[in-house]
Amino acid sequence: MFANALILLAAGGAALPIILHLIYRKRAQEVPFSSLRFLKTSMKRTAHRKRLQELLLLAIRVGLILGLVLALAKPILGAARILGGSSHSSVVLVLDDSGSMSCEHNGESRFKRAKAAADKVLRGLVQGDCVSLRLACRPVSPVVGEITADRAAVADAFTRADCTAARGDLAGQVARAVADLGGRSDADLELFVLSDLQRTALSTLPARLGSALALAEAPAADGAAPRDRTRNRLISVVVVDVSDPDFANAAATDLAVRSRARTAGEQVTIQAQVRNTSSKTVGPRATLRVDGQEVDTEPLEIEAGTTTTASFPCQMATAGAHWGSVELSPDSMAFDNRRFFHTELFRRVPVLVVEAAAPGARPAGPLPGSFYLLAALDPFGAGGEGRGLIEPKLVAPEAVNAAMLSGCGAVILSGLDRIPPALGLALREHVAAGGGLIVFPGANADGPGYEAVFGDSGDGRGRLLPARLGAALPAPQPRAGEEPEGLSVAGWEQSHPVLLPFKGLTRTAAFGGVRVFAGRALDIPEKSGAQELVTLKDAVPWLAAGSYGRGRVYLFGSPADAASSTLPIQKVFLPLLHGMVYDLAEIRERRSEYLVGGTAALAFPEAKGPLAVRVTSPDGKVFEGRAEGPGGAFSFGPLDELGVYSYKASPGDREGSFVVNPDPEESDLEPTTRAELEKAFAGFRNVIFCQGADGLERAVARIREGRDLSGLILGLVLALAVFECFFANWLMPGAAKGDGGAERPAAD
Amino acid sequence: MPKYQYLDPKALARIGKVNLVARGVVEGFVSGLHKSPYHGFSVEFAEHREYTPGDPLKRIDWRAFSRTDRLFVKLFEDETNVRCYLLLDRSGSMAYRHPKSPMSKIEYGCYLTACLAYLMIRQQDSVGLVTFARGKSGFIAPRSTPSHLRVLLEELEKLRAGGGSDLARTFHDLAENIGRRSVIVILSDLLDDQKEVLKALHHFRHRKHEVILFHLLDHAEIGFPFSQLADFVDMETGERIQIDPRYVREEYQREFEEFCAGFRRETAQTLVEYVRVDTSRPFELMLAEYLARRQKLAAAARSSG
Repeated sequence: MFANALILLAAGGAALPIILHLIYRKRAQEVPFSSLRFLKTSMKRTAHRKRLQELLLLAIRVGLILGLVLALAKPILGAARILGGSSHSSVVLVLDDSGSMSCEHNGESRFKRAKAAADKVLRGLVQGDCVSLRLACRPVSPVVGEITADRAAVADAFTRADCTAARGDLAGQVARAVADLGGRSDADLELFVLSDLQRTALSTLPARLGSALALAEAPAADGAAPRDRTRNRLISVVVVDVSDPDFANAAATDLAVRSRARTAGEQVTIQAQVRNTSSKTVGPRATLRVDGQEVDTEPLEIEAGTTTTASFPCQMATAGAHWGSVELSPDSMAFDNRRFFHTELFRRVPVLVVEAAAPGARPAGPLPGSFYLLAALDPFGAGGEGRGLIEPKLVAPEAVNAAMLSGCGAVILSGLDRIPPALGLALREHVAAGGGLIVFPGANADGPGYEAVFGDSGDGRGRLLPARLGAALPAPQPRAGEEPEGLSVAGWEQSHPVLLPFKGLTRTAAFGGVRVFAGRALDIPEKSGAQELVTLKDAVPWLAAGSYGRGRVYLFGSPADAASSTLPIQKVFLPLLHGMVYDLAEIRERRSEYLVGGTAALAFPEAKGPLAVRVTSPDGKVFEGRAEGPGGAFSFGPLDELGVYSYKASPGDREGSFVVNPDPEESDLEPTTRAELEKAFAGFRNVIFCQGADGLERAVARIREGRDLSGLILGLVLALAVFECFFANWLMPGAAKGDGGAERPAAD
Repeated sequence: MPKYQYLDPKALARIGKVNLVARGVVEGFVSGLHKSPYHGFSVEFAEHREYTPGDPLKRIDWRAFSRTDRLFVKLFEDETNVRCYLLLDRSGSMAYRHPKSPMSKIEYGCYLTACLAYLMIRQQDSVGLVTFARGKSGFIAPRSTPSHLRVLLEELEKLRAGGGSDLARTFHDLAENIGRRSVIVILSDLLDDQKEVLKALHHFRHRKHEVILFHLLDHAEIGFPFSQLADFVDMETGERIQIDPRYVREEYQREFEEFCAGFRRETAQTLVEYVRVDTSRPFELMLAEYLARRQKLAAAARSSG
């Protein structure tokens, strides 16, 4: 493109040297000379060199004239607004508002720098230009997602934009911006990426861009023609880098509460992982706060790029939810200096283990099931180092009464061949009232007797046991001198809460060591509502679950002793048994920690109907919603604030809390290199890098108005002229010698 | 004597009394300034020779006999007159004159010819004139009378350059036709086949003639000082070529010097006296210097012999 295109008409002047050359040839003076014999010989020898030199000189002179004309015509390279015949621009600003942008350098945050650069761009827009603002962490309102001519709305959104603590999706926003710009018809398509170019934020950029372009080029579902690929290649990308390598930052990247059992009064250790993401050694002080009270503090010294652990022993006396935080002393980046934890402590759960053998009287022969059960229920109790969450108690069937059952988290019947009717009646009432029951039948269990006590009593509440004790298990008899092979576990119901810890594991990893030698196949009545949880080889049901009244019952097909199966001595036994007890005692783990920018998933499974949920953010803002989904599911997000959120659901006044922490990856400030970005944006019309707002105006001018090449061409013309002088006066034959005595030819 | 264009008294005055002395020994009719190969009775003592029977008794040097008691005869050298042919090239190329040159080559040659003729006749040598070009030859037989000088000068006045060159043939013809040993003075730009010309010069030498070759060159022919594109026209053939002199100057100078060096080298071997003459230099000075040098050589030869 030329600013003064008419001057190009003067390019015809390039023929001047040729015309002069031809005229001069025609007007060559006639010079009589004595003899041409020496001239002819000389001419033959110099003709080739002469032709070359003359052609070169002619080319230089033609080039000089053309260059001069070209320079006067003021050529503009890559002027987008002129190229397409449109004088308007479509501009998308992708502003990185992620947590890393809060990093301060000399008191000025990266986000502030980015906003200053964005402000320059916005101020440079003219009437008719369209613009859109995309924020990495706020993909929707109040950010203006669509490219619009309403620049005031964009300016307003820009003014209100603030840095978050979230990680965001910068690569995705860039890809969407490219897709948006590709659909515009304006000739000048500009994408401004204002960011600290964090590697973690842009690592997926090539893939996201590729997907965006592929999607744009794919045929539309409505049969519309796919977008022209080259539209995307008309986009000019300006990457405004607001990062600065000079900073100091220690980040609390992880915080965990470690304890043997989450019971009130139990000693816990709160461990904080602190990482130095800067390039110099930092020495922050870590302070632990629990339930709002400062508990402990510890000085740290962390070398560049390394991680250290700060451990705080702590004791929380009361049961219920507790929250706290570890906070580091201030540095360049504030948002990752504090990390929160949320934990729930429980009261101990009493569990009755009912076995026929008298407590304390150890029978001769194989160990009874209660031995394994007690060991599994309270693994810390035997060593005297502390107590677990479950408090088991072994009792004889005759000793069980209603008072003993009340307040009991679960009752485990271990190896009873017959159920005393009184016990059966008491258990039936206990379970109906919401209690839990786990049954390991005796090796010689009386199936009809079990059925008589725990079967359908005809009172309308149905069966207590989820299944009948069927035929003896078809376990193959071992050959003489060989170990019994037993029946292996063929499958299990992975979605059941009790078996969730084994979800995704292979059979070998979860139940691979379990062999069942003796017991009864379970016969689950149809339409009983019972669920088969574990199935042995040959499709033999071995563990079933059911409900009775408000309580739940688990029924195994074998006793809990090692003679009937290897289950009690397998590692799966402890989590399986604990899972059943927690389920029966309604001790449920609720997710209570989220990353900023995410969505909290709250559940109220006990809700019988819609709930009104009221969530209070750490800064006191209140949000209200309704939990109407299945299981009382309620989603709340995006979670903008770091800290402790509390919620309350009514009716029922169910309360809870959760904490929101920064994404540890956001603390990693390693930037993406220019080469990587250039590779990602390969094929785009321009990729221009600016350090902060410096040079941004020049970059914008370069895109919109192109690059004025007249100065460059004038320089070349000047250089060519110097060369021409040198060539014509020194390199050409006879020139260097000055032709001192050269006379004009003349005839005699 | 009437005033002739080519016989400038001032120029002759500059040449002075330096006579053209034939470097070789010339057989002549009249005792003059040139040595005769015949030893005889003369005033110029040459050498002693031991007496042999048959020698005239009057040539016995009795003084020597009185000192040595042996008989010697005295030998004397006779000074003879010279027959000289002035060969002037009148081909077209001889008309060339660069604007900065004082005169054309043919004019320069005429001046030289006139001066030489005058000097020779003044010392009673016979002088003839041959003007030649392809198909145009003029011949005036040698004489030593003063009136012959007028004839020669009139011939020179009428002379105009033109036509091609055929030096070799002309020289061969003359070599065949000149019977007596003579001094052959050639005034030419020698722009012809070099080998053939050299052969012809050798022919002169073969016939015992002394040859003096004045190679007349315009200063522009030597330096080729042209600087702008021009159509160069051959003055003999009319052929023309367009040349940018800046490209060919060095090559031309090299070629031309090689041409001149060829004559200098070959003539030295055949004892032809080669004199390169730049017409930009006043002819009288050039001739005075040449004659002075020649006289010195003659004196040196006489003292050594």
